Amino acid sequence: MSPPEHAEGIVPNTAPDSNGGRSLFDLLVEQVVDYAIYVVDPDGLITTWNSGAERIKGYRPQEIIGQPYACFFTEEDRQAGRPQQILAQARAEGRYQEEGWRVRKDGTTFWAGVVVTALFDQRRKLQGYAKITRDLTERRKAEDDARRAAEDRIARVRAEQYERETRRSRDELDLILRSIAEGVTVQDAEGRFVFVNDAAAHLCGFESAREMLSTPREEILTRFEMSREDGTPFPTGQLPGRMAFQGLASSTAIKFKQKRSGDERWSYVSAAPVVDAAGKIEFSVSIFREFTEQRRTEQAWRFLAEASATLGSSLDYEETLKQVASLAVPRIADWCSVDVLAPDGSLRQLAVAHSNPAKLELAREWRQRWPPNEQSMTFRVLRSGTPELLPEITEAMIVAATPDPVQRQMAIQLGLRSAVVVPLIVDKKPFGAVSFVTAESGRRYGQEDMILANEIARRGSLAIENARAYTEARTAIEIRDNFMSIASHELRTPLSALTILMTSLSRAANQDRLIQLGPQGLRDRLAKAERQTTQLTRLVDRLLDVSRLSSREMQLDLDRVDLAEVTREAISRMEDAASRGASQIQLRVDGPAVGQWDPSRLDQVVTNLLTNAVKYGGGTPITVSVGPAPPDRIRLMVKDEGPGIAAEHQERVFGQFERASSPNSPGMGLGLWIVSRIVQAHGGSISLQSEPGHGACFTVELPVAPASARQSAEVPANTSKNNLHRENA
Amino acid sequence: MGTQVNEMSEHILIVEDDTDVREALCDALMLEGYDVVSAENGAEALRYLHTGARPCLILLDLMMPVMDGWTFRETMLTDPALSAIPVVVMTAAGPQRAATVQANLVLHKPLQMDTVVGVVQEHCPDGAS
Repeated sequence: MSPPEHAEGIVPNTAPDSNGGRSLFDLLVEQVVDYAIYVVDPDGLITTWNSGAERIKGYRPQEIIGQPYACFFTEEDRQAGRPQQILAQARAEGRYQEEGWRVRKDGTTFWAGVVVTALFDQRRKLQGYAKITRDLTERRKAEDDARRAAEDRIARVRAEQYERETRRSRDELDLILRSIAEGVTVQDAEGRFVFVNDAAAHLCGFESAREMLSTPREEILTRFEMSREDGTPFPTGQLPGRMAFQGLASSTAIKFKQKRSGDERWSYVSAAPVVDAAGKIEFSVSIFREFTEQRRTEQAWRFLAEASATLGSSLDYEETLKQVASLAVPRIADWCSVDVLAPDGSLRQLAVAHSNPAKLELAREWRQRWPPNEQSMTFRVLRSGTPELLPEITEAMIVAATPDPVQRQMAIQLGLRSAVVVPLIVDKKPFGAVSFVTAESGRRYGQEDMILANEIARRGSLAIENARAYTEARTAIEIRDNFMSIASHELRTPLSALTILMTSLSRAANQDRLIQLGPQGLRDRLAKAERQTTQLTRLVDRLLDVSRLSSREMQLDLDRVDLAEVTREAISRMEDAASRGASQIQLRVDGPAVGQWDPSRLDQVVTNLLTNAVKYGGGTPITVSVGPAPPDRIRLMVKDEGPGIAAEHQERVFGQFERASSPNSPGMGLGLWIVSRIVQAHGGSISLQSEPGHGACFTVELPVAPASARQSAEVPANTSKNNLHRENA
Repeated sequence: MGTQVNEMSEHILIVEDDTDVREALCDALMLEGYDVVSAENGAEALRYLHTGARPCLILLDLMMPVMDGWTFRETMLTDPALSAIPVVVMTAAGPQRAATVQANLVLHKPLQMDTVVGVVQEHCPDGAS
């Protein structure tokens, strides 16, 4: 290969000088090191090579001159015919410029800036191509680095932005799921909880979602029990969350009872599967919508309906109130107690209900050791007649209410949380109170609960009033029926004697046998008949008197009366009857016995007591004493020595229509009742001392002047049913 | 015990606590020609029967003190020596209560002598003298 020659027709603009015949221009080309400058002939063979070319491409002139310039191209470009194309383009357009990859002698590539200029002689004949190549690798690298850096920066910014947005939307979703009232759980295909919100955690008996998520799955299920609406256990396998993994979306109502606290909550549970792109179930999402409050309201009204039915079902109100207390537990309360006011002003616990018998025992012990005092809520409600609500029983309240440390400890153990106490008001008077208390259910009472409880108490009070009114009415009917039968018997007896006398005389007259009687026999019989009519009149009068005495007010016509005198007269009237009963009546007057009384009523008192003694003394002597009873009373005692009255009958002897000994004894059973009514009206007292087999002694004490010498006296009407009487009317 | 009679001859026993009714009945039956014995209550009547007396008829009141008519009748029925004596009850008690006593007949007070005499004649055919 020969050294490069000047192309024909190309005239250098510098003249040859002293540099070995080379022009300055030749030297420039030769020595430029930053540019590879060389010439290729029309066939693409290299004809000149400067030092810049050598530096950039690595070939020495003797190695490369005469070689095809295509060796600078990458294999790929060569295959594609790029060397020829470039020359053709330069030839056609005079010049071609590009940047592209070129190959050095050592095989490494560099980024080259290439300008190819076609060289024509004056006859426009192609002489070759001038090629100027610059190594732009550094620049290109810098450019690439800068671009990459820019791209990286953009990517990073975008990634950050994406992450920020994702995080924000995740936080928002998280916040939403955490704060909604519904419980939400998400389980993966292995059944692990991957998401739980607080509402769901609380339902399952956990303090927080965090606590639930950190608890092993097997343990979670031991925290609570599940049951259906009908109370039967709910199988874990049928939970909607489990069904979702079989591809089924379902919904059901479940009661969750937390084992530790006993807290009960109702929830509608629904779940659905979450499926990935391939159709595989990835998650099951469960939603828990609690309806405990609605269920409680529903149960409260159901309780009200059932309690009302119970209250109306029986006249035994004590039994009824016990049943109502049992109905309340556990539906609206954990504890329910009914207390009634005893005659001595203390509280008697009629009923206490709790679902756990062991706790009932505790309550009984409590009651025995610490009966409610005047400051207690129950007494307060009884006094005021208005219900009280304690939404939250705090430990401070318990401490304040229990000075005894043992009591305090017990109160804290019971875990009482909330209470409502409502009054039972019967006939406008405080009768008792019903207390509803919650503990282990965790329930808090509100205004609505208090209204409901008060309604129960109101209905309970009404039931008690009705039961009382009914019992009183029934007793009155019994007394009336009893009286009718006795009155009928008493009237029939003298009527019977009278009828026998008259029909006997009539038969004798018809058979002409009157003569057998003689005038005396006839007079005797007529006298007896007259006595019977007198007796009948007396009985009718007494019946009318009874109706007057039964009314509240008894009119007394007060006058100065000597009781000894009245007694003496009564005895003389009785002597005939007494002697027929073989009794002897003895009177002892111990001193003056004068007072302001109603003479005819006082006569009734003495006569009835004497009649009683004659009737039941069974022929024994009768002792009557009259005398002063210091300081300001007069005493009358009537004593027989008959069979006496058993202790269990003594209290009832003064009742209406009752007789001691036997119900088959004759008499209306009104005598002693009338005596006690008259004595009461005078402000006096009557008592009985008797022992079976040792006779009976009735003692009447009357004030010398009845209180302010009232003209009329208020006496409570006595309709007592069970009093036994000893006397005939 | 009223009116002394020969306890072995035919006679009527009246058990009645009300003196007036008892006396009226005794007088009336004696006027009819019968021998009559009377007792004030069941206990007294039993004592009389335990002496060996056998009346042809007992006229028995029910409501009496000491021993009532029901108890008297029950006691009589448990004694084979007495159980065959006819008993006619005279009562002012209602039909329901009267039905609880075992008797040959129940007469309701007030008593009509025609009825009483008819009953007596049935049980004591030889009595009227």
